[in-house]
Amino acid sequence: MSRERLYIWILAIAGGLIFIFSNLFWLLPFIEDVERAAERYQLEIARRVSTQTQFFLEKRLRELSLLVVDILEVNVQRAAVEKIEKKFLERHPEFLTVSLTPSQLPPDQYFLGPVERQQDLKTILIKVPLIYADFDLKTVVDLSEVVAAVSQERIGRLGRVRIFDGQGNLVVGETRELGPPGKILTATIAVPGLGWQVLVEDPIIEAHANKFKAIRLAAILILVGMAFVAILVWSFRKILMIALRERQLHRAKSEYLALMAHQLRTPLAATKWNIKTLLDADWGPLTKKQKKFLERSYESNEQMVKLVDDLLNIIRIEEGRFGYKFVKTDLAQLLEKLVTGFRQQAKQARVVLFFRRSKKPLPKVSVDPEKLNMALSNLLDNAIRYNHPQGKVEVNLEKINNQFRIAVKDTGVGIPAKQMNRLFSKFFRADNVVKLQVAGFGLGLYIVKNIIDRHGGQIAAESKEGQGSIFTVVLPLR
Amino acid sequence: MAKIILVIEDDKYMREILVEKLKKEGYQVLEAVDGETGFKLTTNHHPDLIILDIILPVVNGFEYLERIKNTDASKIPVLILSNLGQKEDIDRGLELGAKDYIVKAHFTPNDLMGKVRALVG
Repeated sequence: MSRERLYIWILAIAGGLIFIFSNLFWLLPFIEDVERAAERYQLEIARRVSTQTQFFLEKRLRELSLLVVDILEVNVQRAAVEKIEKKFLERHPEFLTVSLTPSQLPPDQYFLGPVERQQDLKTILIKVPLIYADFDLKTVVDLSEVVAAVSQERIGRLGRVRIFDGQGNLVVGETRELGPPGKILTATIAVPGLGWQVLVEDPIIEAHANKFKAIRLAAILILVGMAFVAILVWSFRKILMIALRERQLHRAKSEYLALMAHQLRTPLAATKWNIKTLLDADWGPLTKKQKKFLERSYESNEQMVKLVDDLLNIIRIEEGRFGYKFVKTDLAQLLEKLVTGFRQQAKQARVVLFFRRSKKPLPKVSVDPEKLNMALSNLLDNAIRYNHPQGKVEVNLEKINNQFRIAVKDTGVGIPAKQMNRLFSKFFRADNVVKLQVAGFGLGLYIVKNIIDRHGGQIAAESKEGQGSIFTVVLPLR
Repeated sequence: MAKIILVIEDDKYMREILVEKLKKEGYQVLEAVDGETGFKLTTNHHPDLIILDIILPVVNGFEYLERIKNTDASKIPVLILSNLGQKEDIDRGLELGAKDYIVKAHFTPNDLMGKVRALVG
């Protein structure tokens, strides 16, 4: 039992995995639900990562602000221009030279500085705001351009820089939102000496988020996959358990029926033997009347024996262990013996029994003689039992091409036309024989058909109610 | 001298009929209700024929046959008389050395007597 359970689990898991791998697309409709959960999970990861990033960001910001401060600190005096140039070159070794000259604007307010690049010598104009004495940073400084000019590279890395004055007014930078809140990391730092705030926004989370998309998808697939495997394993197990239970029940049923049939046989056999010894006058002679009634008991008992036999046979047929043994058999001999065995019964029923066969010797055929005998006995028994006194039963054997044809023809009660289709089903008894009160249980023809089918043959019936029936068995020559 | 027949049968009615019928035919009859007693009677009395049931208490018919297989009792003819009528049971009984197998419900007392006579005369 425990081993069977183990097998069931192994089968169920294997079945579940096979199912998952062959039907992965099934999962797709379910991903959306899980996606929401996964998104929360992903944001949490991003937040943790960004705490680290914040640290680096602030470091970079400090560098930037120092630069800003440097520029702001530039002296408005003409003499300070050199200082700016020098500082600029210090920070940007890629520039060959830098020179700051006054712009077209009032020369006391601005300088224009042409900058030459070391490699292609292209001129880049950097507008550097300069203020003479009494400068007011709020009004004249255009820091965005300063920052943009001096740290293109850094700007590229940082995303966006905004600078606010001490009162929180935006001095430099755009106010456009970059994306949904929470996805952009911000850092602020005060510019010393001015009371200004430099705000740097870093789209770092968005970058991380993209990176985590792959992780998220994997997580979804694993979660959904696991859930599905679990469900499938469970259902497979359930199905297999039901099948196992079914099998056990079936086995128990068969064993029970076999036992029951055997238990029924024991008293039937004892009854049979008791009555038979009485009928055989073993214990002294009987009067005619005693004998008549005892014979009836004996007949009834024999019918019970047959019913139990039929039930046992049906159990074995349905379990597929009827135990066929095919041997080359002389059909004519088999039938001859069978018909001889029925002579007594026919005589008692006052029915004439014929056996006709072709004179030519017939080839032997591979059949199970015991089972075939059982089948043909049933047909003959029916033909005699459901006949009229002075009726006829004719058994015919002939070989037509590669087939043997055995026909059992009677002049009995026949079968109602509308019931012909149910003739070979279990427990079927035609209305007319039920009315006649002829004993029988409707199991015989079911067994007959099973046996003939197993021989690769066919059985057919023709009948006219009140006139008789012909049962034809066709067996292939093999 | 009358031939001795040992009847090993647990069903009381069946055993009574067998015993009566065999006595009537002039045999000397021994009775046993189970395989164990049957085996003791076999070794002590050495009957001429054994009529054996299969479903028996203590030691069943098949076990009984296996037991006598390696003794001098193995030469005694055994007639199985049982309610088990399946092909497997019949084959097993004959394989274990029984001379014949009779399904109770399918044979009459006279059929059995015929077989008994054929085996012991």
